[in-house]
Amino acid sequence: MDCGRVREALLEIGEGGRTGMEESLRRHLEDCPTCAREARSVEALVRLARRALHSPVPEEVCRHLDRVLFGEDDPAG
Amino acid sequence: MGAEEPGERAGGAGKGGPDLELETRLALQKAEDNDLALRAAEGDRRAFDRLVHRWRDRLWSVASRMCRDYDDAQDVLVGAFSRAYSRIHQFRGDASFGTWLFRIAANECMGLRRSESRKAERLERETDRGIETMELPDLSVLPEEAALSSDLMDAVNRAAESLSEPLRIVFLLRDVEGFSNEETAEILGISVAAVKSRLHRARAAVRAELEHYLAS
Repeated sequence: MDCGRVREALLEIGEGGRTGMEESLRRHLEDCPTCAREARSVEALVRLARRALHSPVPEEVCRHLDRVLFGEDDPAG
Repeated sequence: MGAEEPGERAGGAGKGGPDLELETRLALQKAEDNDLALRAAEGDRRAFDRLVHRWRDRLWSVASRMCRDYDDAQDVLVGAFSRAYSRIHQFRGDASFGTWLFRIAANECMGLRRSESRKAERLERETDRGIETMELPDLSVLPEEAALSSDLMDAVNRAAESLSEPLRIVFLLRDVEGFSNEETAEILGISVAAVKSRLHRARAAVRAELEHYLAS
């Protein structure tokens, strides 16, 4: 497997990290420091993005949503 | 997923064993979602309410960052859940409930922001310039305490904000919400190749922006 193919395969990295990654790709990452660094960076970026960009919905919006959907306050309390 | 933190969802990335647990958990979540949706389609209101609780934070994370306006984001969130509720009998379980819901939300969002689409296309072209030849920073060397700093979180926020809309939505769906390339393509009505191309450019642009932070 060449480095170009590996860079494309890194676009599959996401929710499951390296789950399901082809064995040939794993071997390439063990042998190629440049691609290994790239893979670690992508994984670090995904972790950072999830920490930084997740925003809980404001309570006020939740109440509005429950009123619109069910015509009353949150039935789950 | 409502009660689950995104960091928790991403926690097993790259560590072998935990990935398998994560994969199993995600598969279970999808099965539970689809089961709830099918019960909601039969008139079980509580089942739909549970779906709202599981998905509202994720939908808000994307809507608020795409609209960048509180009222617009609220309209997208409420509009998407309202349409999903009124059409829940059309849900067949072919796609996951999350993909189906986000597809509805994407349409709500596009309806609201259609007038800005040309500007977004121009910005997307501008974002492309120079990225391919850039030396991108190695984010894996960040110490854990730095990775948790509010300054870095702000920098990530600013970097995501600076993306054009077509790149930002793909980045949010793939790397923040954890949809696959195929699911993202389905949500946005574009090809998987287009998702990969946009994801590549979005990640590169965010990393390039973070280099300024790391250098300072």
